[in-house]
Amino acid sequence: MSHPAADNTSTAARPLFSARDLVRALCILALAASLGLILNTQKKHPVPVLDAAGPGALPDRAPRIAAKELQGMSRTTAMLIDIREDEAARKGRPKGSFHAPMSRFIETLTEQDLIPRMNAADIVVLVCESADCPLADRAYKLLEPLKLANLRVLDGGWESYEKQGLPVENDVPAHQPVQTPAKEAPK
Amino acid sequence: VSTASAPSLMFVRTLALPVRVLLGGVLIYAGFTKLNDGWRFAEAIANYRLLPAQANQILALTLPWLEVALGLLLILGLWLRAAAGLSALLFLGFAAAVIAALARNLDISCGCFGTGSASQVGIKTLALDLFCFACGIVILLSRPSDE
Repeated sequence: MSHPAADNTSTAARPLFSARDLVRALCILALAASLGLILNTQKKHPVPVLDAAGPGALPDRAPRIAAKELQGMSRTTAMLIDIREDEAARKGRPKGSFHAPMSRFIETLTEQDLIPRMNAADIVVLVCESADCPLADRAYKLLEPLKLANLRVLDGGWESYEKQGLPVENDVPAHQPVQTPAKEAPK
Repeated sequence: VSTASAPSLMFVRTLALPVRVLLGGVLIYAGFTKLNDGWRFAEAIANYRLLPAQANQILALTLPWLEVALGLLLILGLWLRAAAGLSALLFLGFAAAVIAALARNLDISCGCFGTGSASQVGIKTLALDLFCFACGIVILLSRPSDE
């Protein structure tokens, strides 16, 4: 049986990360990479590997619309879709906008039957948080097959919208869309 | 060993087991949520705008398995120093990516716990990464014997 003091000394003398640990770490890395790459080939829809245009590529920058251009447009003309997540949208969002967070974008559009409305709108504007928003570019790419006449990303996102002093709402639960006036029942 | 360092070493060692289980659990959960969603995870990595598409694809396929493997090793107590060191390095890398995104005011989801999770990159994400990095360091400092 070893003396505790002696044990402490031998433990302290051991390096924090030895060459053996480094080899083991490399083995773990190699195992993970092999598993990931091999199992990917067995999938029905494998991720293309080393494909410059594959899923790891950034989408092209979608066409933008400036916040000031929205001034004066009614929500019957412009359909705003807020793609920010619940937490951000709860703090405030464009008045009359629909909320389809990017984490469940297509599901929300389908569940709330927004696609026919998008087809009917003169212009569809995607709203994200700030100026640099690859999520909005991705949302644009997802909507491209719909061949909407006018699909834009709001330049500068919510920050620019708010700065422009455009109408805002923040008392509506984030997941509920606000009805556009055009689709409301006739009075 | 100096008498001053012995109690602190004891403290770190006592802390090491719950920290191992906690960090292992976080890693396994994070890995499992991304295992079957390589396409969207590659996109989530691409949104950070740090690496070329090809590297994003390889990372998207490798990272989830790496997280699961590290989590299992930490919980089972196997190859502990290697697993703890690698985990600390991994979370340091995540923290650097988050800082890079915050510095450029990128509005992106973190992709930490699957692409369906709604968490945006922010201070909370950075805090979680730094906490997990610290956990890895605590395990490493406890100098586990895994010969």
